[in-house]
Amino acid sequence: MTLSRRQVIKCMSIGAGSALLGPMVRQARAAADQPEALPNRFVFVVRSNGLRPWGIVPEKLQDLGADRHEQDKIHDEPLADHTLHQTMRALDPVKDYVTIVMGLSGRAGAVSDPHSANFGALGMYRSDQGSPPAAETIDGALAKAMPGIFTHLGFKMGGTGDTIAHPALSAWGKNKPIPFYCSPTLAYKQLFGSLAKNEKLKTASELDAHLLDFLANDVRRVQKKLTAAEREKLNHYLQGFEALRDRRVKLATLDDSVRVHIPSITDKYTSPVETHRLEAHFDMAAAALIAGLTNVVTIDADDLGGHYTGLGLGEKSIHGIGHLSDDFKKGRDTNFADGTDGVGARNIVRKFQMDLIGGLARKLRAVPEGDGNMLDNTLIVMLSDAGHVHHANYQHFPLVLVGNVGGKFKTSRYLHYPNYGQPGNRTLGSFYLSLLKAANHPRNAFGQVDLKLPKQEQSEPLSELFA
Amino acid sequence: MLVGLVLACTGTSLHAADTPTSLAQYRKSIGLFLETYCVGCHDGEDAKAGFRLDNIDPLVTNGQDVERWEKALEMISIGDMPPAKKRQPDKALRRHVEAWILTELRKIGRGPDDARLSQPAFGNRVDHDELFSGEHKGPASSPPRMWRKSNYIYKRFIAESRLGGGKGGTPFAPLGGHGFKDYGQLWAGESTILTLRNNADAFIADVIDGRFVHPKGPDGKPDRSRREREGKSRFGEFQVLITGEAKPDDAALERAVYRAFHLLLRRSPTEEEAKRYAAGYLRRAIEIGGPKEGLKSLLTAIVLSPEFVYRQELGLGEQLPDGRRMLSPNEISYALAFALTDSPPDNDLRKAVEEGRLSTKEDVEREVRRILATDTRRFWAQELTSVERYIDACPNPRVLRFFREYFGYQAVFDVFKDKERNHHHRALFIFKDADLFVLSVLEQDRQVLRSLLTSDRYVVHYASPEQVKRKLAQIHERKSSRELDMLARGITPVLGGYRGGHYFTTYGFEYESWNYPIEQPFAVPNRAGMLTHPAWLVAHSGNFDTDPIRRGKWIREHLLADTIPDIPIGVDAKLEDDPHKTLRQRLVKTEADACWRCHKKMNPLGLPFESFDDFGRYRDKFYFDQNGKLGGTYYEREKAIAMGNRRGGTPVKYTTRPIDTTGQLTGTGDPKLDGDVNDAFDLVDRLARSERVRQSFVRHAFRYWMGRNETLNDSPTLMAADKAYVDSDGSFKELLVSLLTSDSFLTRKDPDQ
Repeated sequence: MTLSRRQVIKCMSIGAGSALLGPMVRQARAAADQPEALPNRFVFVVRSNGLRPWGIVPEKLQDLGADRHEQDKIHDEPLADHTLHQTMRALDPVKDYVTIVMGLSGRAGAVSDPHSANFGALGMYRSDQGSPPAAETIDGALAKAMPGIFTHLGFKMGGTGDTIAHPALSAWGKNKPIPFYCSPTLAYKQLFGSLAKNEKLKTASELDAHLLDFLANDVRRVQKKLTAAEREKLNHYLQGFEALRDRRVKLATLDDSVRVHIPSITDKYTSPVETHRLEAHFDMAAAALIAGLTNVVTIDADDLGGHYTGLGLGEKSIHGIGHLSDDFKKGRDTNFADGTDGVGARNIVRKFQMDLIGGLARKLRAVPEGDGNMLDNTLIVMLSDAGHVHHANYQHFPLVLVGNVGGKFKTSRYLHYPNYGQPGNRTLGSFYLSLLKAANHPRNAFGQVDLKLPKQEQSEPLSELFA
Repeated sequence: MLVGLVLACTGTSLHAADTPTSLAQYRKSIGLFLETYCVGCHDGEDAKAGFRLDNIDPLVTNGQDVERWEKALEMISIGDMPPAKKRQPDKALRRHVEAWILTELRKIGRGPDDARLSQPAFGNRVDHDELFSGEHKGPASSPPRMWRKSNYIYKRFIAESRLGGGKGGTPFAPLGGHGFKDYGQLWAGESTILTLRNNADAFIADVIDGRFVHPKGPDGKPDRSRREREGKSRFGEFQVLITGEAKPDDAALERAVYRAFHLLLRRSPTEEEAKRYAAGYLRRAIEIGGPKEGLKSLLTAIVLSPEFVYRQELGLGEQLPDGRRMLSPNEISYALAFALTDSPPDNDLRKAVEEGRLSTKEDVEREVRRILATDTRRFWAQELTSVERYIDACPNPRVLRFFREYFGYQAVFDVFKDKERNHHHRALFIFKDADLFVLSVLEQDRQVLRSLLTSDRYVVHYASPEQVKRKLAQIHERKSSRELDMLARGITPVLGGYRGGHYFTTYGFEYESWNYPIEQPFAVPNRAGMLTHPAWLVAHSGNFDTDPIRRGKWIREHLLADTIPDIPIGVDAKLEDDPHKTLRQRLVKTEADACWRCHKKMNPLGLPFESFDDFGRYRDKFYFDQNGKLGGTYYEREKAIAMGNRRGGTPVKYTTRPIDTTGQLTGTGDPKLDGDVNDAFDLVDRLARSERVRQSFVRHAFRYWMGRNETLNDSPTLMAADKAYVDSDGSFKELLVSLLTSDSFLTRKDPDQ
């Protein structure tokens, strides 16, 4: 039986919900006289080693990025008059969409380990190394609020042998960490592999449902004999099955329009060089967003144990790079053999990551959506899980934002809030409240509050971000 | 104790407290406590360590001083404060104050994280003296539990079952960080399912569609340019279903289930399982997807079943009068097999279960002794190509892995060393040497811990008698003049079996002069035990430097059963680079009041090991060039001299200064052992004589084999294990027998019962 395009679209809206539809499909829907609210999408790019303020402030505002700079009142100016930092030139073509936010604090997520706030970076609660998450993180919360076929997609730069991991970064809720794909080929198989053979998909999802029901009973049988803690262990396992089954069911409702977005596999997917694999992750993130497979993506761009061999920095671990001094003279004896110092190495890494973000933003901007393009409805948030330095005190989390949330944000600006300890300092929690508000899921609390700061302000979004 | 308290308090709200701190309650006891024991030092602007308690907000739930209250709680509960020389509160008062602070912090969702404290690195928080006091009588038991399998078990399964598709990712990620990797608290989630399923697709295809073969070409011979699946299953029970035309009967389905169970779980299904999987599952799966897909789904269901993923230790055996339950014989067989090996129960264990000979402690002891009675020598000569591969050759790999994870020398692979600084460094080989050192000590099985801490009898570049014979024959055959000359001079040339340069220079041996010891282990100069072994030294070093802090921390936690408090939030713990200063000089920074509180527990224990460089090479002096800069490794100095001697270069001249190797031992609880130490050899010798060090070793063995942290209820198990070790002149086998026949290992009880 052949369905008309209108019928297909109708089926899809029943089967999958409008939030899942790819922009292409949505264009067709608009043509079919079914006006539809545009979705919001969020991409979080989280790096380790801190996001140094001096590396993201525009060129003439270098003083604001200095190490001991004390900001006592809010500083807000348009980016139009400024040249972006030399490592952020890839964002020049989308400069209208760029917002640099400085000065937000995250002490509610402060932990003893200075290297990472773990789940606390995106969750704004205290999360010690090695502990399971205490609550949801912002990407989990947004994903649940706007579920796609893949409610959330996580990509992580990992070793060649790694396939899938649970980095301490994103969570659905207490004790529910979100998995991240390390292997681009496995991610590809999960994302696009099943789309290629739709015929078998129905049988496969029926078999999956059968399998899940069976295993669910099997697990319950064992659970009866267990204590609460052990029962919870098995609950994780059950939830994994449920997530997979739901996804299969939704994938089965997709039509051919999605297939045009399937990227082709290149050498990058299987490359032994970690930076190539990260490029593949960004490619897949773009494809998945454009195809409408998901609305929320988190990319764990590196971790301290890794090496940037692809950037010529393999001599030191990423942690080792973090320990390099920002002062050439001070650090000269432990600099790279070729003389690259801390500043140079950080610039190389940041430029690489900004290039990838720029590439993703440009791809999204090229896809028309509603009256504008996908970037109008997609916000890319870059931050570090350690705030602004390698050894963090979690008092400062600089952010680079690219994109918008349906035009709700006022973009192309440099926004510097007062430092921690100064009146008017705002928190990363408030930023997350802003994202929820912009996505039409407003709340008045997210994560823990910093009990040392005024509570009222922490229950409000950052009004300065909004247009 | 804290663990117990923490477990008693549940629920962490992320929001404000419902019942705020009562000021009256505070004034009644806590305020008085702080006033009496703390504020004397922690008062005013010049408070000790910059930590004030005189102005702390008594209303904990206000949240103004959360971090200070958390720090105070930590210091009181691990016993670091008040300092030993000051007046001490009695135990009951200490516990009361701990409980009060914890309760108040919990009201606002703060205080220590339960899940974190249940990690092996926090096991020492249970009071050591109480554990070995004899006051706690138990009865010991573990909670009924599902212990997620390790990746080693999974890999072993793939290798032993000879299924194709052994490649693929890691379905069972180990516990992160330092310390034990395989712990009871690990669990499986979506990532396990995806990886397991991804890997299983390959070997299930191998089972159902057959192995890869070269199809016949036009000439009737196998066409080696093509590779495809045979197209039929090599298992009759499956093939019958695939080709069978009529609807399969229940018996045929049950035969397939029987085969699938044996393939994947290595056991027969029970009657109930056979029915459930056959008529209940397989029949419907075949209806949906046809016989092939249905069978694949059956195999997937078994691979993803809780039994495949978890070791089940629920306590299905006999109920004891006090409510505890024994593990059933079947559970015991699995618990024992996975305690010592990576494989499911062997034939003898299975037979013992079938014949009803695995239900008493005596039965368990018999089986443990049988499994441990193996010879590891055949493993010594294995060519080392990768850690994963050669572990297969070691009987009871989990015993060896305990020592790897306890001493932490497996981290030797994680520490990147620049080739320029020492091109002879080979992590894999010094790692294997460390393994063989452990095995050689276990072979003697006398005073195991003492030998591991003090023996200079290492195994280096091992060659088996057959390899020695073959290599000598080769030398004579080749007529290699250099090696024949050495033999003529009475020096045995290097006959070692590993390929890869002169890594043995790390031990101070040079190819030309080393009289290779055919009999191993042998005495190596300037070494004493594992803590002076290159593998341990490299594993506990930085990329460019030694790491006295990490080394001291290891000794403090692993040998002295002590706890190092967390770094205070926001401390930028980084040493400044200064090429003119030795590490000891640079570490002076940590002697500031605020740092020294913790660093005094580590630095004096780690600094004696400065007599070894960061590659684990022995040294007795530092080299400085004419500009007063440290000269680096031997190879770096040689290079600098050569460069300086080139035309136009500035010749480099080095002067030397002796290395200060002094340190201090504290915390053994024995005044004869505590005190200043001269060097690493003095330190390890005293450690090896300490009762507390021995008990700390027993505690770690307990954690590793029980897969959880000890509690005061486990006191009888720990004391019995310690006694078994002492009574047997330090036999590790006896220690293991004691642990594996203990109530902690064999009985189960709900913690909330």
